[in-house]
Amino acid sequence: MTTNARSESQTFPFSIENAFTDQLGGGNPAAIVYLPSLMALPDETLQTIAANFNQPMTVFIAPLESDENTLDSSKNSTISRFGIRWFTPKLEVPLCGHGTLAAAAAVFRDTYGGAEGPTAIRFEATSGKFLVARKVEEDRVEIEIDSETSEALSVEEDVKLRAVLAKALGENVPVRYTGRGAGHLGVYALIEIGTLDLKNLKVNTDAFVSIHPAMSISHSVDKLRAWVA
Amino acid sequence: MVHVVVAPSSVPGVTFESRMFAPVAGVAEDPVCGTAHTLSTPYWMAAKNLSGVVFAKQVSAREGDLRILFDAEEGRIKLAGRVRTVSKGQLYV
Repeated sequence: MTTNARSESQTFPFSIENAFTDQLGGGNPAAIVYLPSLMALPDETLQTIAANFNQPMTVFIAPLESDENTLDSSKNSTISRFGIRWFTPKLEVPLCGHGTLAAAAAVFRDTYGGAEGPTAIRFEATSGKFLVARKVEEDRVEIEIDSETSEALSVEEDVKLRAVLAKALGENVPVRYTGRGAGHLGVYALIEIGTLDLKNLKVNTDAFVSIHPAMSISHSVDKLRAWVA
Repeated sequence: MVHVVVAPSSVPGVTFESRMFAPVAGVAEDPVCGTAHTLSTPYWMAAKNLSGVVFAKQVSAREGDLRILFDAEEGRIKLAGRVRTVSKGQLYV
């Protein structure tokens, strides 16, 4: 019976990769699933697979038409093109850096883009945006994306955020700057503190739940989740 | 809100450290976040008057290391890191 069930199911290769580390228990994990086409499975199934993996991110990639692959002019070698989609266990997100880094490493390792493997990969998101990944020195993979700007909080917002920080980080932690992302990263607060031991700082993460009114956001929780990618 | 906390580092070769908290989004603390570094790196480099390559460490429990090149003129940023494979297999759908 089991054999029958399996013969009727489709199989897809996957790997789980820790991004930004060389450690077994380090970095940010992502499951990478190779599909023949991003249309190969219904969205609902992609979401179910991501829920099953229960990793911070599940990334689906599929090669795009190879005859449209272009030359990497700077290195005189091929760029492979892949379609890419990113899912948390709960929802699809518009972009994920660590998931893309992990996907690139998987493609480079498996030389999925061809016998010799590509030197660069162009990942094309459903939004039309694309990210280019390259192999760089010391076994690193590099992704290139837009940088973002931040702006200082108003005095009023600053006072309110500092009250949250006092509860979350402790009264004695020196806060040097409070800002927020400009434009589409407006849900990101950026805080500089003066401590030299951030790693061992005891943080009361529950305190960050209290969104103060001046920085309240219209985003639903799901929309916000989409930005934590 | 997503809260990105940045701080100086006492680790040799590390330009700055960070942690990221977003309990409202269901992520008490994110292990390593690329997006956060597209925001924190330009801030840190401007605030400290730095140029060239920077090394950032996200000091969550799992930890992550990023080598970053920020091109202010183009508004682009390159995030580089190592990747550790932990499993490979076949998915049955």
